[in-house]
This record gives sequence, C-alpha cells and structure tokens, in this order.
Amino acid sequence: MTAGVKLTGLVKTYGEATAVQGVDLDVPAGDFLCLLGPSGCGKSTILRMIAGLEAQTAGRIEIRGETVADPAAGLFATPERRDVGLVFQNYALWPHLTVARNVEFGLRLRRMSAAARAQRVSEVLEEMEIAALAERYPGQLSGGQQQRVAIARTLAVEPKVLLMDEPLSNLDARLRLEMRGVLKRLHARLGATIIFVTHDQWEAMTLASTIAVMRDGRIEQVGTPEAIYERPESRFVVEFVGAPPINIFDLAAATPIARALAAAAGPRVVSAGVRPEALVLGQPAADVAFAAPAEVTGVLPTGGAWIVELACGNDTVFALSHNRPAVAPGDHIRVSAPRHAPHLFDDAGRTCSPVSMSEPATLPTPIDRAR
Amino acid sequence: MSGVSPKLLYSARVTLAEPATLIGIVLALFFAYLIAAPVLAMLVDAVVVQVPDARRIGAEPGTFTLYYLERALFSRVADPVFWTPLRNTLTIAFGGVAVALTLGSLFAWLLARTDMFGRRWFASALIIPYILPGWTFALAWLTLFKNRSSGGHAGWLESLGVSPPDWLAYGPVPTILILGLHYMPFVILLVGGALRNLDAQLEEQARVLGAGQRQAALRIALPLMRPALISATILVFAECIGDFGVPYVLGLPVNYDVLSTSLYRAVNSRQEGMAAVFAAAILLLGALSLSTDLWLLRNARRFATIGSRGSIDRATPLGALRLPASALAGLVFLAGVVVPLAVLALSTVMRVPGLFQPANFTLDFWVGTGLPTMAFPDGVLRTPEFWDAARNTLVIVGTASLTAGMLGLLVGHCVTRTSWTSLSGFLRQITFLPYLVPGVAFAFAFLSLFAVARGPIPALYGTNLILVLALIADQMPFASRAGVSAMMQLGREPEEAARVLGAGWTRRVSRIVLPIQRRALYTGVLLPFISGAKNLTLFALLAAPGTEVLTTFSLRLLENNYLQAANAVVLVIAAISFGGALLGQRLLGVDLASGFAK
Repeated sequence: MTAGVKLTGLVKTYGEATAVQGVDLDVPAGDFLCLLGPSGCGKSTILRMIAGLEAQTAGRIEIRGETVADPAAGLFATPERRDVGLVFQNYALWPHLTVARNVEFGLRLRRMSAAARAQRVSEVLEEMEIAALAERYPGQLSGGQQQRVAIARTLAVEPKVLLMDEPLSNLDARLRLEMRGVLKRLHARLGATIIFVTHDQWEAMTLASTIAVMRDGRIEQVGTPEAIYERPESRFVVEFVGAPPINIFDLAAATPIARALAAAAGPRVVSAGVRPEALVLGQPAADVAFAAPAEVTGVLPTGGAWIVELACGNDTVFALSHNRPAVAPGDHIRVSAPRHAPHLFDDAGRTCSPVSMSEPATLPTPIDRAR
Repeated sequence: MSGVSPKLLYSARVTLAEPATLIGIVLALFFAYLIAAPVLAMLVDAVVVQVPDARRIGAEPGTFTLYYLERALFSRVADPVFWTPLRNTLTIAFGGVAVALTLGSLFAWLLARTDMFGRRWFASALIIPYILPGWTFALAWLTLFKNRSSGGHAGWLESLGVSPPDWLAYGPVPTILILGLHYMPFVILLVGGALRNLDAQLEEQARVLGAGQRQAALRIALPLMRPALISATILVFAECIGDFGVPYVLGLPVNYDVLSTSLYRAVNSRQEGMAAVFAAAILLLGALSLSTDLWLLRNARRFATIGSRGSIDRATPLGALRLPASALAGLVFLAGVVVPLAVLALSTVMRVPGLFQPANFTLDFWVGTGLPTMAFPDGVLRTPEFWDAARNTLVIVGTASLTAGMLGLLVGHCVTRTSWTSLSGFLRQITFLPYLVPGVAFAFAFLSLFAVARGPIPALYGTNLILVLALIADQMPFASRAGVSAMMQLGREPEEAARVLGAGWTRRVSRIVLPIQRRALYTGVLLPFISGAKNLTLFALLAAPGTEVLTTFSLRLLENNYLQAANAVVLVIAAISFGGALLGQRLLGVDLASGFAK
C-alpha cells in the first residue's frame, strides 16, 4: 500500500458556525478524488485539516494508515510533519525566490546534497515543461506558468499524498483544459493519492476517479463520475451535476408533465427531474415516462449544441440537442422522455428507487445521453 | 498520556503547532508591562501620597489622597497652577490646528488637483517641516525675534535696532504659528491622500448635472473629504497638546505655561503628585480627542468608500492664479524650511547675533577653543560631551528603532496568524495605546513606573535602557500598524506553503517572511529612527546626566543661554533626521509619505 487518506467522523466548528459536520471518507491509495461542492460547503476546510493547517474539532484523520490528528487520542501532528503536498488556489509562490529556488526549497529542508538538488529541480521543471523559466521570478510569469511552478514545487519532494485546492480556478478556459491533461498524466505516472477540491463539475468529471459531492459540511454522495451522473442519490446532486441544469418538476403542480409523472410515480415521490439531454422533441418513442404538447419559446445555440426553451403548461423546460433542431420559436411540438429518464425524489430530496414507478421494476439503465 | 485528558492534550498540541500564538502571548505580556503598566502607575501617582509631601499632607507615603487633585482643581493656587496652563494648552492646540488645517488643506488641494507650477517638487518640499524637529523653528524664531526682556544675546532684529514686542517674540503667537507650520505636512498627506482617492467622476457628475465648480466642491467633494479632515484635525490637536519643545522654548521667557511645560517643571522640582495630575489631564485630552476621531469616523466612513476610484488625474486649471499659488507655496517653504535653517546656520557662525560685519563671522562655535561662554569653552565639534551625546543618540535611537521595527513585524505576524482572536485584538489595542497618550504624559508615565525599583525590576532611571524602552513603546503604534498591514497583505499562503513542505517556524520566518517583508521592515525601522532622533519630549523627562542625547544636550545649552552652541547641535539633529529620510527614500525605496501618520 503506497498511501491513502481516511477521515472518520470529521467535524469542524468555528464558534457557533459548523463548517464540516461529520465527514467519513476513505480515499484508497492511488485514487484521484475530487471534493465537489458549491462554495462554503466545507471542502477546502477538509483539505486544510488533512494538511494540518486547521485543527478539527472532532474526528480522526489517518494518512497512510497512521493517525495524524485525533482529539479523542490527544494527537495532532503539525503540517511540517505530515509529509503531504499542497497546491494552493493562488499558487503561493514566494516572490523573492526564483523559480528554481522555489522548487528547491523543500529539497533543502530534506538535507539533499547540492548536486542532487540541482538534478531533481531540473527533472521536475523539465516534467512541467518550464525548464526555460528556472531563473525567472514569479512576478515575471503568466498565471499558467505560475501554476506549473506551484505544482513543480510540490512534486519535487515526491509526496505520496497530494492535495490541491481549486488549483485551476484562476486560469482561463484553454489553460485549464491543458492543465487538466497535465494533472491526469501526472497522476497516472506517479500513482500518488490526489485529493482535489473544486466547485467546477466539469473539472471533477474529467479528472476524478472518485467524486465526493459535498453540501453544507456533509458528504452527499461518493462514487465514480459515471455513478454520480447516472445514479445520483439526491436532488441536490442531480441539480449540481449536469449542464445545462436538470429540469425539476414539482409533482403537486397541475402542469401536463407533472400530472403525467405523478400518475406513474409511487406515493412517496414529490418531485422529479429530467435532464435536458434526455428530452426527446417531436415524435415520442414507444416507452415513455411522459409525452406532452409544448410551444418552442427560444432556440439558443451554444456552439456545438442547441438549447431549446419550451413552454409546457406553466412549466419552462430546457432541452439539449446536439443536432440543429428543426424547430423555431412559435412552433408547437411534442416533448417526451423515455421511461427510465426521470430521477424521482421523496420529500427529503433523496432519490427514490425506480421501484416507486408503477411499471414492473427493471434495473436502472444509463440514460440515453443525447447524441 | 497518563492523567491528562486527551482533549486538553490535543488543544495544547494544536496551540503549540503554531508558535505565533505562544509568541503573541509573550508579546502581549511584554507590552502590557511596557505600555499599560506605566500609564496605570502614573494615574495611581496622582491619588497617592508622594514621599516629599507626606509631612505636608499628614499621611503616610503611598496612602490614598485627593490632595493633588484638590490642589490642582479647587485650591487658591488652582488657577495659576492648573487652569491657566490648561487654557493655554487649548489655545495653542486650537490655534495650531487652525493654521495647519488652513495651509495644509489648501496645499493638499493645490498639489492633488491643480496645475500649479512645480507641483511635484512642492509635494516633497512641503513635507520637510515635519521631518525637522519642531523646536528647530522655535530656536530660529528666538534667534530672530528675541528681545531685551530675557537674558543672553539679543535677537537679530534687536541688534538691527528694531525691538520686537513680547507678544511677537514669545508666547502663544509664535507657538501657534510654529506648531501650525510643523504639523501642516501631516494635513497635506492625510487630506491629499484622500483627495487622490476621491473619484473625480463624482464631482464631474455634479458638474454635468449643472453644478458650478464651487458648488461641486462644497456639496460633493467637501462632505466626502470630511473623514480625512476630521482625522487630520484631531491628530494635529493631539500632537499639539503633547508637544513640549516649542512651548518650552518660546514660553519660558514670559512664563507662558502649558500643561506639558508645567509637567516638566513639576518633575524637575520633584512634585511627582502634581506632575501626575498634569499628565493625567494631558492623557485625558488626548484620549478624548482621539476617541472623538474614532467615533466620528465610524459614522462618516459609511459613505466615504462608495464608488470606484477615478484613475484619471484631471487637474483644475488655475488660470491667472497659477503663479500666485506657486508663490504662496514657495513662501511657505521659505518660512517653514529655508529661513529657519538659514537663520540657525548663520547664528552659529556669528559672534554677536544680527551683526552682519565680516569680523563678526567665525567658525569658533563649531571648532574653536577658548570661547567666552564659561562652562562651554570649546566649539561644539571639539567638545567631548557633544560626541558622547551624538553616540548616545545613534545607539539609543538606533537600537530602539531596530527593535520597534522587528517587534512591529512580529506583532503583525502574531496578529494575523494566531487563531486566538482575543489575543490578536489585545495585541492591536495595546500597541496602539501610546498613540492615545501624548508624548510628554507617556514619558512621565515611564518615569512613574521605572524610576524606582519595583519587584525584580531595578530602577532604570539614569540608564540607556529606559530611553530605549520608552522610544520603543512610543513608536509601537506606527511599527505594529505597519507590521500588521504588511502581514495582512502577504496573506497566509506563502507561509503555509513552506509549512507543508516541512519548514519549521524559524525557517519560515527567516527564509520566507523576513525577505518578502524587507521593505516594510526598512520603513518600520527608518521612520522610528527619524522620529526618535528629533524626539525631545521623551528625552527631556527621561534622560539623566549620564545618558544625555543630542536633543537634551541642546536643551541644556539653551537653558544656559549658549544660543550658538544650542543652534549648532539642533542643526546636527536636523541633518540626521533629514539625512535619514533622504537615505531611506533613495537607497531603500521607503515610501516616507505613507508612514508619517506618527
């Protein structure tokens, strides 16, 4: 076992306010875990507690099978002794040191010989493709270059656990994409355990081997990106993951879609969601959850796809189409969804099992993602 | 872990993990002793029987008494002893504020918003009066206007056959003029800074809506400038109350007493009880005015920061007034810098003041021997006492400013890094406290606590240490604010990045924090140095014959009426503080304007 991180009953309070309330999370060695959630949900706090920069109020943190902090046992290892890598959102490069010196800092602390240090620094800079910048100061670098230096500085000491706090959020779209590739290759090569904090669902989807969706200091769901997308366990997850956001229908409403869904759903179901990409415009398929007449109120091209805005009774519904839709505002068409497309939620916002549908139960199948 | 609760062990380990908290506690104790304890000791002195008065009061020394308060406030001598000095203090303080505010805000506007000739040059030149010691001007004034009514050589005007009346030569009129001129730069910096930050678009919007220039200035700009104007007013007021040198030099010949000079004399005549009452009165005035400032600002700031900053620098054309405006600035520069320095310089090379004949000029007062001044027969530069005082000044002020700068940064570090909010709040407040205590009261407070041995601490009076400590305490408001804002700006991340890589506290501070903050540190050391080198108030009360510094040395020469020698020493002091300022700006890139708020 190379390394892993385990959190048990982790709680963090600041006076009256609770930032993290009872988080259990087991990150196996070599995993790439994304903590995904809206701002203020406690994800960065968790990362800082793992690094030792914050002290938890209760709960245990283990790194590589060793307990590093546990109030119940009176244990608290300082950040200096935890031997994890941390990449900050704003990079935190030291402005008075050159790139090479920044990267070298951790190696000096490990009492490495000058020759070995120079060797290692050039290796890491080479790997991050910034060897030419070695003698520059951080102030002379672009955001993307600074990010590469920050990662190089952390990688130089070869941490077995690598923590990243929204490291790509300050970069422009193209650089972000490029850095995602870099991170993914890095993870594959190093085999290190990576815990990555982000509020960007795309980032989480593209990078992670496991995603933990967080909400209000709790973990809402842990699973592979596919599981999070296809088998969300709560209305919060389904609404947070997916773009454009999912259409939610309140089944108590007297709209055509709500009535159709309510008739088919079990008594515990109070709301349902259908992803825009699951909606079918025009002739309904054979086995549908609902099919209703609607008026096209807008066609919004997004580049490679089109969002079609529809009025269906009092509902405003968005559909996503990857082909140019043959409709125009004012057109009256039919909108439908395949039988297993709707996600059904009870009054607590938890996902109801498909058994709640009145039809004979079948195993949930991946939703037909509009091609 | 036997016996100790794990919870407690955990808290202890968490606290110890960030040494900032521990160091903060040590600092808090240190400053409580260095700053709060003296002020308390002084206040207590006002209500307990002092040794010399025990017989008169008929009570044991150290017991509670209202004798001093009674004597100062209600007795037959209350008027000459307390109420008149209080009235005089308020007169010169209000007068000084009026002069400083009028000139200062006029120049602030001219420098920030108009096309006056020589704008950039005047922007630096008009700050110089604040860099020079205030009583430099008082001495220059005496050199010019001194009349026959006091001993020693007469002033230049007298020598030229014009006899200046007493009201012009001494007392409130010159004191007010000089204080006003000395603190004018303070107003220029504060108000000018606010004017530059004021969005010019707000005024332009008013103009577009049809307001005239005057209306735009009065209805839009002035209300928005109010916080800066209030701050400047009250800070100048507090400085004037606590100023000792100027009223002492100019008030002495006509017995024009203010609270600070009364305090000085009470200390010199060993009336500690009365001195404590004077100091408490000054403290009260200072605290009152500064809390007024904070209170007014809290109510005004709400609208002062709305709107983005207009980055376009639009200068109001002055038209025909362009030349007169520059001429006025030139005149103030002449009166505030050139004339006083020239007069002082000339006076040190003239045997008889005001006698402009070749035979009257001499360098004897600098380098000569066998001078007619009895107790001081050699030129200043040949006198060992001068060199001792100069060395003392450099050692004491240098040590104090270095320490204050480092402590300021350390306070900033602790305040921004500790997780104990109450500790960080206390550190901020305690280091700000000396700001509320006018200099002369603070000096006396120090005397109250450290003049006698208390517990394990021996009597410090007569040592260099008391001067160093007093200077450090006096400079902490500036030093700690500079440190806190520098550390805030830096943020936590650079240090955290080092921690995670395995760097302990010492390495973090020495390899990351100090190098990044070196410019802030230069400022934090240089400004206390300049301000300390010209400091008379603290030294006048705390320096003993063995620990003379340049300022007290010149004061002693003045008291003996050796005007040439006194002026020569003052010139050296002015050169040190001016040189320090120039050096800092040129070599270290210290932004002096940013830090002159004390």
